[in-house]
Amino acid sequence: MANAGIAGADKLPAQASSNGHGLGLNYLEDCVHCGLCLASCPTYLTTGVEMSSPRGRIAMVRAFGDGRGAFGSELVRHLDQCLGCLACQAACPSGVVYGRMLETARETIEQRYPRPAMDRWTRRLLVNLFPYPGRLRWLLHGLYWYQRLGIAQVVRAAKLLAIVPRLARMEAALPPVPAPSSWNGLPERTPAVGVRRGTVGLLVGCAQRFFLPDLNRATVSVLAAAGYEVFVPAEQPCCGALHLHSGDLNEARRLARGVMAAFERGNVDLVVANAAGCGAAMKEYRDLFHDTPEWEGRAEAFSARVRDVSEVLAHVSWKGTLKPVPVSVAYHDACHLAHAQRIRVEPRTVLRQIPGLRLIEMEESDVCCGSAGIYNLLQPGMAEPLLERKIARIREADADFVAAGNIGCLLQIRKGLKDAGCRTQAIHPVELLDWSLGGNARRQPR
Amino acid sequence: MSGALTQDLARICGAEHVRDGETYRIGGRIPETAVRPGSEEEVSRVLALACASGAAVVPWGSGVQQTLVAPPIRYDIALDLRRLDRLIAYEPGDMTATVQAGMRLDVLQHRLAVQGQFFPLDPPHAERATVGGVVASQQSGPLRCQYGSARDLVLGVRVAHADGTITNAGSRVVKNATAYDLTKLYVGSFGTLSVFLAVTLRLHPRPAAERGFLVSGGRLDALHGFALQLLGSHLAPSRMELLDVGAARGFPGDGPQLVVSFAGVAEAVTDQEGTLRRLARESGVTVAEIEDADAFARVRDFPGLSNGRAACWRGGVLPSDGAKALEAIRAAMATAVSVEGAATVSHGTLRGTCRAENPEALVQALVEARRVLEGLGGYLIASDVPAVTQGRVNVWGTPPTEYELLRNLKQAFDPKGILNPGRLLNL
Amino acid sequence: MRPETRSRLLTACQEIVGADAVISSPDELRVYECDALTTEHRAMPDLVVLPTSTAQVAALVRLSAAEGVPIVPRGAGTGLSGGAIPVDGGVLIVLTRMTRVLDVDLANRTATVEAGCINLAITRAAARRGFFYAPDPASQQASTIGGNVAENAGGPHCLKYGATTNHVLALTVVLPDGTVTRFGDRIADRPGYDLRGVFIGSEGTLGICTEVTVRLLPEPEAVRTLLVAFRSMEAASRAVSAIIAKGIVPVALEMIDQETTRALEAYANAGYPTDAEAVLLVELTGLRAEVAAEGPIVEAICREHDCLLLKAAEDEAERMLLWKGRKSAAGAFGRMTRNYYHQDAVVPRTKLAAVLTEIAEIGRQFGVRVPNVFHAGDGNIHPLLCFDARLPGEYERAMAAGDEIMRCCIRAGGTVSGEHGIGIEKREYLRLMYSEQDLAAMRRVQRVLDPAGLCNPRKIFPEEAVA
Repeated sequence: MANAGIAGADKLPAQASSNGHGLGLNYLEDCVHCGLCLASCPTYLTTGVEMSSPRGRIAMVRAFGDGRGAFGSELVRHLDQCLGCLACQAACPSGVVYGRMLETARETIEQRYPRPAMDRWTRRLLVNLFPYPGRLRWLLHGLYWYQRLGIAQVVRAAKLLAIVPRLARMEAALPPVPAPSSWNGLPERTPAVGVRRGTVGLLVGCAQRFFLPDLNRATVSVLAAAGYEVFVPAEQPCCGALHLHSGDLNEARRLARGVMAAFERGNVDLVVANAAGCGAAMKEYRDLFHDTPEWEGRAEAFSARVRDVSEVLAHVSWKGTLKPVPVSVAYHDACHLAHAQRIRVEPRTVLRQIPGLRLIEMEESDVCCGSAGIYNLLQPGMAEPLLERKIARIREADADFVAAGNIGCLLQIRKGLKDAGCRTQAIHPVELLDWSLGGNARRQPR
Repeated sequence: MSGALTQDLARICGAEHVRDGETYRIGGRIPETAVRPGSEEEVSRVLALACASGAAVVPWGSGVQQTLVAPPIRYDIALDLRRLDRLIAYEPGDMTATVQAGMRLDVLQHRLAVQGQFFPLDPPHAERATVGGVVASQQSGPLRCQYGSARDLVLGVRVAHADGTITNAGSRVVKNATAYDLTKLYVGSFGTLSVFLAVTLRLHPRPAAERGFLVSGGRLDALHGFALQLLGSHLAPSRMELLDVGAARGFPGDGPQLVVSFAGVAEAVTDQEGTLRRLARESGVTVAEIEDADAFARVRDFPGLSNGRAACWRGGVLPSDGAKALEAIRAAMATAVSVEGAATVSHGTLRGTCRAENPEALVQALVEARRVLEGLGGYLIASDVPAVTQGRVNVWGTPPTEYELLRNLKQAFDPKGILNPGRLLNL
Repeated sequence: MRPETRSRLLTACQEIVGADAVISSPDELRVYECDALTTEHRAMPDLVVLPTSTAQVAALVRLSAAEGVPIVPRGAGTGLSGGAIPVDGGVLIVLTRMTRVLDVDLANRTATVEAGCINLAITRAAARRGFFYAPDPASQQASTIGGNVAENAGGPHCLKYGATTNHVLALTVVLPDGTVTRFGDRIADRPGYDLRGVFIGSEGTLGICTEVTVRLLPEPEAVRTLLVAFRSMEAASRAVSAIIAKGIVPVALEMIDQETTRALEAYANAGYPTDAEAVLLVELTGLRAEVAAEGPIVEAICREHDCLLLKAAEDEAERMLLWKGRKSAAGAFGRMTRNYYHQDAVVPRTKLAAVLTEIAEIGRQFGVRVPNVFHAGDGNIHPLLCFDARLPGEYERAMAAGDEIMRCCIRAGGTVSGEHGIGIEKREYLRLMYSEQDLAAMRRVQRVLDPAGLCNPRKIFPEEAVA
């Protein structure tokens, strides 16, 4: 199976070093201003303003590169507002590697731009929290009780956080924290069911292991049923996506090395992710270490073995072991599946394999839901309208479930569906497959 | 003035092409002179002369369209363009033809038929009409259903202005997005902005087969609903004319009728016939094939021209209001002795006659009918009325909201007001 | 613009649309200095405003008129002739926030939308009920209907269905003095002059349209798509003529030359044979019986004309695959040359073969590569002049070749613009097609509607043509 890799990977110039020797923006001259990217850009669809579009962001960055514009608060604001969904990169007929520009720009901002204090602290807090399970566990214990004891309701009703609107919105965006007892780890080795066709490693993800522990359990179960031995190293760091997208490439590399080492230990054929963002980040390791001789080969080899779980499962023939699941399912294309990894067909194949399941194609299935990592916490003004838009489309599809292959999307959409009182439930395609294999009884909606 | 004018015109066009205006009467007026120029150059010089002396000019083709607008408020020269009747350029492979304005439609169609093509405009009395007249009046016939109107079929024009200047607008090719599309302005301007010298037309292949059907057995609104259903389906009728009881008198059967035709590849026509019959059965109406070769022409020419006791009217509403409008008109024209009406269903355009015992009754009928149509957001034009009622009923009804702009445009193109003065919307 | 004027305008605009709908900082204004025309024409507006209603647009126009300041309307900015570039500065009125579909009336087969509504969104709104909006410019997923109206946009569907002007029934227009009026009507043949028809294609110089009422068509029953590769361009042109001569009007007749085919195959792998001088994409739509009858005729004609390959699509997936190459042409261009100038001209179909030969000769003469993609059915050609702006002389040679190509098209009886409009780019070429009097007649109309001359100034007309 060929690894689709990151879109446009064949055109990537040398990665700008973390010390930032110039921005190397020549590839932006590929942009001919045709404007076709506007059609795919969720932030442009929301604001109608050119600077919210890839074409506009490229123009601002080029203007800076040409010495005609400043690297000021406006440029930073518009770059911050970018979701990094890469829908534009997939749509661009000229092959402009927008994602590369975004990463370079974010790195530059991170290193050179003096953000206002509150902004800086919020970002630092979030980026230093989520990717570190130890710290996150600590916080989540607190948040669990904050929610369980009803403190959350009191705070919201009394609008105690209203003084700091950003904090209030972040609080509102908090997903329900599952009971700590469910945060159990997974066994390091799960044997294949029947004939073993290979060994795969599973990335459990930082937020996922806490917020959707059942998903990882279901994934292991399904992969085993598919004939794979599943290796889940207990000490696996975050994949580094958050740091990669925030411009802290040094930390991203450190985490990446940890991930690679963890899985190399397990002698796996493939490394599987069930979160689009993580899978995309791991496929990017080959570029992250492009100019680092010691790791270049290892990263290349590692990235070549990374798969989204749907890429693996789409090729499995279940030979009648699937039980009917008579529900209707609308499919949401997570950005880092559809755009970054160009994976659209495989998840749909997986769903179509399930007998009795009716797949519904919804309008704007590949327009970002507004989650985008921690974007929904940092840019609520954009994340909220995008979520509303997504919920409206889900409503129109009127399905029993909406399936998405990414934790961020699932949490975001779940919250939106609950707030809108919509009957549709959000679920990961793997959970449906697990259901069909006779796995866990359908969990209660959150 | 008359002697000098005639002499000047004779010097331009030759004495044999200048005569008195007796046969060019419009409404109550006869022009002093009628002139038949033989070239663009001559047209230009005639207009320049008229402009200099402030003489009012009415362009003429075959005259079948003259009653579509009000009579001129001044009338000195009838400018007969029928000597400009050549086919200037015809390239069947391009499906375009450039013809002089005075060419008769039937002559043009014969030339095109040789190549298996035709120009799909079928206004009333199409055989006699000139291309220039048809285009200046934006007149359509039943074929509009499939092919559109003059504005969709004219690619470019060559016109002479009030002061004699000759200009081109549009192009000779089927696709063009170059500067202002003045062809749209001139088409349908009834000779009030400029005079057509030549027109480049978009042609179509002659359909291999064409068959017509008469649908009947329902009330007017039921037939109309049926027609709308057909138009919203995959069917592609070339004609869809709704005739009320009065208008349907020439056809077999009683009651209102729907005239439907399909044109194209034979298999497709037969296929559509099948669908038509099936849908008709489901709706409880009957279908009979039209065998009469003149039927299409009769529908096209309805209602004809007014006479002593009857006025001809035309109007428009939303297509979905077609039947409602016809019935409302019939009811409104209570003072009339007889009312006949027809609608081109796809476009909601209406036409008909009304006859009354005396002029007062006729006027009242028209006024009431207009009130009804304007109440539906539409309009009624009463330009073709018996002489005795002329001037007693407003030709146009409520002026359009952008009237000021129209007046300014007229003023810009014809500052001295010599082209068909007062004929269109009193401009 | 004087600072006091700008400051007054800024305050007043903010009062009309709200502060978050006014853009005034230089770094942000710079983003609006060009549309999809990327040659040297750039100009920053003084202010950018994003209204959300006709009333707001009218207020903005009145305000600008009172201050004697130019206004420039803009949609998505995908125009290729520079129509949305504010050459004299002024207030750029961007309609991208007016995207609502106001009414879909299937009984009358019309839809009314705000001018900022995206072209494809109109079809999407009607598709559920089996209708569509026909004009399909290449930019249709991003361009707004208001922009389409301004340029009389075309697209491959033009051949059978006509351009924007054949599908727009009515417009709500804010005139340059701020009055709101309606051109055209859903009710046909209202007496008067067709201001709707003049406004369409007037490139934003006669006012700003804020609402558009369009005609909807029922989706065709059947579609048949063929990919045909011809050994020679000559054979391909003759085949096209033969198809037309048979009385068949396909909904698309797209032709790609060899240079383009080679480039897009390297990039898109669409299965187009690279040894073919011309690749033709034919699409027939209509009634099932019609398409079933016409399909074999078209195939027979192609076979008679020395075709190397003929593929017919059996289902929608295959149809998308056949179109994939044609739709990748734009991307292929981006990869085959560093810079390019995307031209647009029309020639009579019967002259197509001769003109293409002449264009190839012009390319050789000037040392410029000129791949070509064109709408063979209506003679609308898009020669692409390739150059590398970094190398001395290449740009000049490319422009000179382009100039010669324009003249060649006019000589053949064509026009200087099939669908892109005149804008800034082709002002001087107008004189190739129209005399001073022709232009004066147009200027007359402009003066009636825009006496102050502040509505998208310096577009369309050659600089010196003052009637």
